[in-house]
Amino acid sequence: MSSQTAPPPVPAPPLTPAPPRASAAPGRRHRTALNAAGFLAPFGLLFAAMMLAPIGYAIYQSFFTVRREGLFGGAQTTRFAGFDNFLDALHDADFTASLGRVALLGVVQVPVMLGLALALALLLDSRSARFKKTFRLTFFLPYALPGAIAAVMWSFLLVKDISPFTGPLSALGIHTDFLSAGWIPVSIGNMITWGWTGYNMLIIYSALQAVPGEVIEAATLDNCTGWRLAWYVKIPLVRAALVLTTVFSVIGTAQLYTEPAVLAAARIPGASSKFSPIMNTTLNASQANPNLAAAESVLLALVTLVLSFGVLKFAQRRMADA
Amino acid sequence: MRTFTHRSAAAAAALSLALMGTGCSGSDSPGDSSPKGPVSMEFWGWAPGYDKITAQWNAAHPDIKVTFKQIPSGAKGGYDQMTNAITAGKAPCLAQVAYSDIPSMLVKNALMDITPYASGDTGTYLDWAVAASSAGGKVYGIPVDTGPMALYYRTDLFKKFGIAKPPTTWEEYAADAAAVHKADPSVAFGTAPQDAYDMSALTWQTGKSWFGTSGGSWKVAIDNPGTQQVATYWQGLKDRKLVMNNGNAWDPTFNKASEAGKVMTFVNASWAAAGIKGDLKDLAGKWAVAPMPTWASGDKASANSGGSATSVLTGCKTPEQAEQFAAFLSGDKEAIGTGITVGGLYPASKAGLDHPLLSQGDPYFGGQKIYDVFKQSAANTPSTWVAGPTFGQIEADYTDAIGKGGYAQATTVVQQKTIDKIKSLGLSVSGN
Repeated sequence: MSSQTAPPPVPAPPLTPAPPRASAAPGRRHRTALNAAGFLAPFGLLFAAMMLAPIGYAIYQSFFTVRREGLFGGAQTTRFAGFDNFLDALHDADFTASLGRVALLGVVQVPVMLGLALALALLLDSRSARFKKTFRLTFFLPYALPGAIAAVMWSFLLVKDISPFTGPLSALGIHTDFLSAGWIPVSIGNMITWGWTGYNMLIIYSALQAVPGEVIEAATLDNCTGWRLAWYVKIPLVRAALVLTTVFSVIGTAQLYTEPAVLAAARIPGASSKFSPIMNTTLNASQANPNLAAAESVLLALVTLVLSFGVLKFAQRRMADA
Repeated sequence: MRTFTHRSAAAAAALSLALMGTGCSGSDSPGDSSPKGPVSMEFWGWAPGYDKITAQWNAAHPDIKVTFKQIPSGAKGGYDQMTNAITAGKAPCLAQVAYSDIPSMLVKNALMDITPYASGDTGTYLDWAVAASSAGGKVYGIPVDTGPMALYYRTDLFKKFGIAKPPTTWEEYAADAAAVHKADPSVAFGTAPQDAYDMSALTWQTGKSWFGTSGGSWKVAIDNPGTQQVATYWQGLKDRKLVMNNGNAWDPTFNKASEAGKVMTFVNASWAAAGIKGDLKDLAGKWAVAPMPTWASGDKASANSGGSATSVLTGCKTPEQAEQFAAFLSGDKEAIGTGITVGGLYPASKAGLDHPLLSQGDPYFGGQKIYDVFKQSAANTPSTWVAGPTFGQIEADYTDAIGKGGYAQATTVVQQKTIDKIKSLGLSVSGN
């Protein structure tokens, strides 16, 4: 399971929307609408069945609770619970702690990863770059590895006594256990960065490719090269791609699951089976409380929605100001 | 176009209905007459050897065809698959359920009462295993195997450090561990408990239980004197660095330490023998098995870790035939033999304890008749243990808490979290 949403890399959106089609005769317009509906139907159906219906079901479930009797539940009755499940979720210290944990992780890891991705993309795009294809593929390769496999690989690389890093580090006088409770968030951040930098780099790089050659040429003629060219010309022109990757990364971090789940499954002392919000919902769902899990999922979705729209709005306002 | 739209609307409606799945809760009462003629059923489980035993059943019973499906172990998602299948109305008739999880599966309404078919057989299985597969006087599973605990130790390393015989008490265990640490601090005498399975087995030996019931109410007693005795003891060994932090065979850190001769013993159930035989092939002839050390000398109390029953899941149309298959899996001599050789399953059937395969020497353990030790262990397992309705939660919380702090503190934390969890399920509960 990939922890971050992964549509194929898309180039930066065009700066101006396409002009509207010239209006056609009423009869033709009707047929055009039908055609459009025909083309949209497969998507619409799948979207309704695979996205809207489950979301609706989760919201519906989050307002109910199961009443049980006796030692094992006996006759179980489902009743309307109002916002009780949401209150329970907010009072669940494990769940709220996990929200805080991924928020902190995101604040630190997303800028590091996107900074790296931008730097790599600019290097690839620079005129003096050599072996572009090889490097592009090399940077992108970690993304091709399924997240769970990568997490298992990293857990072997980081577990004390087996890790190739701890030996040389302790020779330098640094004694660490990368999978101790304190280090685990850092190690997980490292795994995500390793896996997703190349992917984000590719999005930014394709946006850089779309920068018109004459703009760069004009800048170069004005003696704007190297760092200044990157800072004053290229980065402002790929801002849309940066916003896009930020939104993807925020969503991905909120949905963190694979890496901490692999560590918890491997019984690493210090790993937590409730590290991320989704791990909490999964546990609650399998422990006979799907209604609480539904409420927690709805809360997580709301937080993610607010954050990603927040990033978008903030960026749009900044762009409008600029 | 119109028909297309209509059809798609119908399809969407059907899909969303399927997704909303109100589920098939119409469980037939066990008294119903079962259909005549050939029947076929599915059986979901994860224990090695079940596929072969199912084939043996099918060869002997052409009228009742059972299809085995390998699923992830219960704790790794197997139980979720079962309950999801029940909700979808596509559940198998038969499923493997560990004793520790039978109460939580009951809370999920997943198991069928099979008392009418099974009551004649229950006397043929170990009493505590029958108790662990029953609730409120009703039978919810046929016991297949148990996990009698023992001490696995390295004969070559014992010789090297001049330890004449395996420790028989925990006091001797601690003394041996200290002596080894003094001779070579890089060698750990044993492994520290790291999860709820370890803690529950060690507590089981003290004769205390994590749960009790009074009337229709649960009593949570995870934080009991027995658990705290275990906690204090192992915290002492861990703090003095006499035991390693990574527990069991099949843990890569443990395997590496074993191969390097850096760990000398571990305490675990009978099925762990299959684990080290597979993972540590090069150490053949160097391991041996001794009874689990006890708290007082002369005391023989042992413990159990793991073991499963075969349950009939809610919605099964042929519970009578399903019970017949479960009884075959647990009681047939050939099936028990397959379980022992393929899966390392120690039978819960009383007659099975005298299976000829269990009196043979095992070349991996230097020809030792290891099952003699397990038989003694099974006979000395206290029958006081009661499993609670939220083992999955206890397992997650204990493992997390042990990773974060000491055993004593973890025990207190898990006690409270368990009470909260049972409360949130809407069941009646009190602390000790």
